[in-house]
Amino acid sequence: MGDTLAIQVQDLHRSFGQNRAVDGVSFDVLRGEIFSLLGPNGAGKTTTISMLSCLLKADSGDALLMGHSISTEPQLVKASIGVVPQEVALYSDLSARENLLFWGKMQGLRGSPLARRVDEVLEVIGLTDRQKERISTYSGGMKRRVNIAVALLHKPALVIMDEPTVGIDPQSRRSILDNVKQLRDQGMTVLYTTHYMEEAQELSDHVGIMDHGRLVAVGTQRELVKSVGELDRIQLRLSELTEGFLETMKTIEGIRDVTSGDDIVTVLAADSNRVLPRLFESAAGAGVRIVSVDIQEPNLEAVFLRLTGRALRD
Amino acid sequence: MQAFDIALKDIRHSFTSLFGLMFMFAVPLLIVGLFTVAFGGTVTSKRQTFSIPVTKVVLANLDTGDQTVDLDPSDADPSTTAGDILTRVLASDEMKELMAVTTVTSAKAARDTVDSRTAEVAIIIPEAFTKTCREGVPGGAVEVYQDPTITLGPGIVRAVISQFADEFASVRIMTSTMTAGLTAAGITPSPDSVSQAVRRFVEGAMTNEAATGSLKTEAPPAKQQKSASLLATILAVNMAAMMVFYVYYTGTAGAESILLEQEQGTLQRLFTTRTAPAVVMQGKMLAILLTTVLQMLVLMLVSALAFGIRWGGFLPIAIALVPTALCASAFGIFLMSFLKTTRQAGVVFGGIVTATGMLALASVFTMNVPSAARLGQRVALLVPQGWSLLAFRQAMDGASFGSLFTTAAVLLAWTAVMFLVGRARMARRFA
Repeated sequence: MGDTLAIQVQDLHRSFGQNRAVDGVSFDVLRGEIFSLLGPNGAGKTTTISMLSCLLKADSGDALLMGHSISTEPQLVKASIGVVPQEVALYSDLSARENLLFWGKMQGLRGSPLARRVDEVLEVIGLTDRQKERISTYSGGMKRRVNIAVALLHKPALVIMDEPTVGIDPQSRRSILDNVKQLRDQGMTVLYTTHYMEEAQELSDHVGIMDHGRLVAVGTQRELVKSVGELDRIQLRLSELTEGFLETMKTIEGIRDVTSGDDIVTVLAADSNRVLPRLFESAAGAGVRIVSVDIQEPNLEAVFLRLTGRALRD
Repeated sequence: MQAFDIALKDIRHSFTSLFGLMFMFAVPLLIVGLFTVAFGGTVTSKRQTFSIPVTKVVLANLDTGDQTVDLDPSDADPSTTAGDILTRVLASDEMKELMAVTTVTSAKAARDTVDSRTAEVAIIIPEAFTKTCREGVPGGAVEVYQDPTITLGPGIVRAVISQFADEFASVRIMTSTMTAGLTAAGITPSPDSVSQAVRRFVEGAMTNEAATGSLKTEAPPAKQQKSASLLATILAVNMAAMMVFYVYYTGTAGAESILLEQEQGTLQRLFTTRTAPAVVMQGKMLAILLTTVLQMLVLMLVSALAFGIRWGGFLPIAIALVPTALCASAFGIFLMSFLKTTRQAGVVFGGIVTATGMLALASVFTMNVPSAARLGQRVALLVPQGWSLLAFRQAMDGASFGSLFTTAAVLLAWTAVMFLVGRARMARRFA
């Protein structure tokens, strides 16, 4: 089992003062897959991967990356991984080529192997023609591509990417997502953090959902959706919320659960098409007006909402 | 090897920053350059004296004299006045290097000449000047009318006139004392005898070197010339002071790159590579060290060529330079370990580095003030910059190796304490 795992995280904890940034996180990542940590800002994703990158020490717990412990073998871990930080971490007064040469040296590469590898990654990110220009002259998307290229120089078995598409244009985002998939196709393992549900859905073989420092669910998308019952989510905004109408809704056939907050009622149903007409009938009977209706078919957003009681974008 | 790569990157960054270059090289050289210009030339000039610019003086001698006494019987004029004598003194060959005197016939003409900036100083000798000199009666004060923007030339003119007036006051006191003494002894001195006594005093006054030659600046004795001229000493001390002041700036600015890289995220990224964190910090330290060494070497070379500053022998200067570079680097690491952002670094530059640098300069500011020199030296040694400056002064003055090694040892002790504290704080932060 150990040989098939790229990452084994075991009960990681990390606090900053009274704030428990990571609170007992455990998960496994298979070799050659893309594993996404999905969660809103402040969920603890960056703290988790900072510990996995040996940048932060865990208060307790441990993790094995490519078989090496982050607490006892940090240098071996670092040699096995490539890290793409959330913010562009490059020297803006150096050119793309100079940056890659420098970072390659930091990974122990020298001479002609380094030069060849720099040529290769420049080709991959499509910046061969502009390699001699200073980073400060690049667009945000180009900087992001170089930022990723730095992590690939030493051909790591595991690439850790912390929200690499934040704040860039759709074209560059598309390019980066395609690059991530190519990495998996080349046999690399990718640990990817994001708060974009669409990215996690498109890329991930497995997804871990984080909130308030805890990993609230792990699995494939299908498994996660199944875990919340594969139900449609119907959100009703009402003119007023009465206790009688809530009780009536719960008796409607096909409705599995009803929760309420302020003037919004969330209904989980196996088939929204069959339930909706009855909901309108019941509302009319109770003298309640339905102001708006929002139907969500099961996805990771719904899973997150179901598990945490709030939306990812909250 | 990675430490050298990091150091090279940082040095390249430092030496491609216009702001950095200004503070490393241009500002200290400019300050000493201005100092040199203010004192009229470089030490390499063949003249070994101060080159004080000649002051243009216009003189109106309105003194009508005192017909009862001929103050200078040696000339053909039987009625030479004190004003005539003062005019001769000011226009004498001895004064030519200090002032160029032209005469006019009225006070207004003299003042107008200054107002029109044709001359820098007007001297107006009043009608009663001789009477005042002889009898001490008021109303005979010499007026010095000057261009207010000039200080040195008018000061010299005032000093000469003041000394001249003092000599005449001596004559007056001597005459009164002599007459009173003779009268008390029952002898009434004849006007001729008084006149002869006055004449001898006046001759003395005219030939007195204190009155005519005290401002003449001469080359120092041959023994002193062996080490350096006075100007060379002043320039050398100032250059060393500026160099030390700005080297510590460079040390702090170099260490600031750690905060800058932290803010840019490149430091954290370095820590995720296979290069050990300790090697990363060694590279940063090496960059600061090499930059400060380069800065000092360039400043010493340029100042030696441009201002003729003699820095001392290779070994003594190396004993001063290496600990100073180490100490400036540790100083920067130490200060930056207390900060979290580059914004805070601005306060450090403006406050701590400048304040400690100025304390070190106390020894330079007070070097020519005997009453304060000792205190200045003690104050300077409260900060590491003061010890660096002391090391360079010892190297330049040819101090014994014992003294130099002691100073270097103190500098290395400063270095060790600051580096260990700084490294411990940094290590805790990036653990």
